[in-house]
Amino acid sequence: MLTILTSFASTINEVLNYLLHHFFTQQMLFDTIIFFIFLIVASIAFIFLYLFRKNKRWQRKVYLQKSLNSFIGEIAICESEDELNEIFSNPDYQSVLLQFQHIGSDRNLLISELAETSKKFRGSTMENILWLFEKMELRNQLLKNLENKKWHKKAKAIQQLAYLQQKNCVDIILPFTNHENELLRAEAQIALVKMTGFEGLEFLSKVTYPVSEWQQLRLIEELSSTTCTSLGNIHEWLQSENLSVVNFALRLVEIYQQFDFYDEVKRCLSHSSMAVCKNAVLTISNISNETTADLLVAHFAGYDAFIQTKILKILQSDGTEAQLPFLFSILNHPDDSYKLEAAKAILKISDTGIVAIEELIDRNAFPWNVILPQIKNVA
Amino acid sequence: MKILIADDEMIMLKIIELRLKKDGHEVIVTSNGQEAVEQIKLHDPDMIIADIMMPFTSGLEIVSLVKKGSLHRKVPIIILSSMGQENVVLEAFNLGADDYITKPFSPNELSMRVKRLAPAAKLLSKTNENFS
Repeated sequence: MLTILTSFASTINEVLNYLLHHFFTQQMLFDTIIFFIFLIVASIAFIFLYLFRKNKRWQRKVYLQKSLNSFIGEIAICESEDELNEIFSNPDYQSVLLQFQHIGSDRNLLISELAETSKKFRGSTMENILWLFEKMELRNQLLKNLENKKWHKKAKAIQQLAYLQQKNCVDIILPFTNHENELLRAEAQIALVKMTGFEGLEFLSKVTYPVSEWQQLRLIEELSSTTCTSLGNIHEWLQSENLSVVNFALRLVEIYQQFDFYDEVKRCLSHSSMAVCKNAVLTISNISNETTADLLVAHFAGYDAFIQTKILKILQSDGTEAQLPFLFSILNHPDDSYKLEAAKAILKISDTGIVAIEELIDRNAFPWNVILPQIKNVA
Repeated sequence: MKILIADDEMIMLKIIELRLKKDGHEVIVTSNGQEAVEQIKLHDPDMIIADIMMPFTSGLEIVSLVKKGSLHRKVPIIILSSMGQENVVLEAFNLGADDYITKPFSPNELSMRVKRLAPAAKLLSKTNENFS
């Protein structure tokens, strides 16, 4: 180890000597060292200054938050408009509020606090928070934030508008639902639904970008807290060129049991996209009528293995004797999983199904020697 | 009635504190579970309102400690939480929570639930006095 260090030090010494003799004068080397020392000192000073400013800002934020908490707390528990006005005009609180009149960052802090509070409370507290929002004329600040160049600031503003139930800003948010930035678009879509419930889904008629699976789940979750009022545009969404919109509309039909749209869903069974067909099959089985099983059998041949297996499973619960010939034909399918599902369906539909199956197959040969005991157990 | 509130969100703590003070209760506030445990030992509250998700000691752990009698006498506990899933609510009640409120909620509703549990708190307090 010592030998390596000694050889390393001597190499450095040689390099320095070489540089000194061939490129640098002693003065140049000295100047360079001074320059780098200055650079290091300046960097350290800059870091300290930066941290000092950051700390100062943080301390100010904590101080403002503390004074705001008491004020918002008092406002939140008021029981009448007179009480609200009394608290608002209290000289102690007026001095606090003065700080939030002009500086944008401070007004943003107040908005954040109000939005956070409105997330956690409802009822009269929520109404009081909205009263304060109006009284402090904070909407303009939020609209200003919507014009910010940074997408995340826009997204935050949209989120806050939604939490603070600014329904009169719906038209301003609507264009963002088809914004090129995926996250901003997602926030705008959620915001619309949060504010106006099912009516907020109107963006589906205009959105050209895909609505991701995750976003669809978020929208459904958001809708779950509202009463289903109108899904009138589903007709249009089921015919959309945006496949994700069609899939989402199918999901809505399924969840909210929209039997009126049976014929539209039926049309989706022959869609060019297999993903749409898959969802259409699942949806139609949830709003089924006496014609559904025949319909699924008619489309069976055009689907991939996944959907075909799904149809066989659906027939186990929705099938009738009319589908028995089809199911018996599947018993000769080369894929054993098809045989199994078809046999299960036959057993569920017909009491004499097992006898009929046994007449058609060789019960001792594979795979029936495995399938038969299995389906008999299930039956 | 002496009520201890444990929640790590300052604004939540403030609003509940002010609401309960308005009802005439004496209120002790703590911002984490560990501090809550210490304050329970120190102040012997008649009722506890605790958030589930708190640093160091969760609201459910507080319920378990209080209901097992390892902290002080048994008192009614109201759990506050943003989690409304059935399994969490059931776990809270299994551990002995007396009420469960899902956020967002109305402070007036909380006030009513406190009022509803007040007779039980008084009864438990009297039982404790007689016992000691």
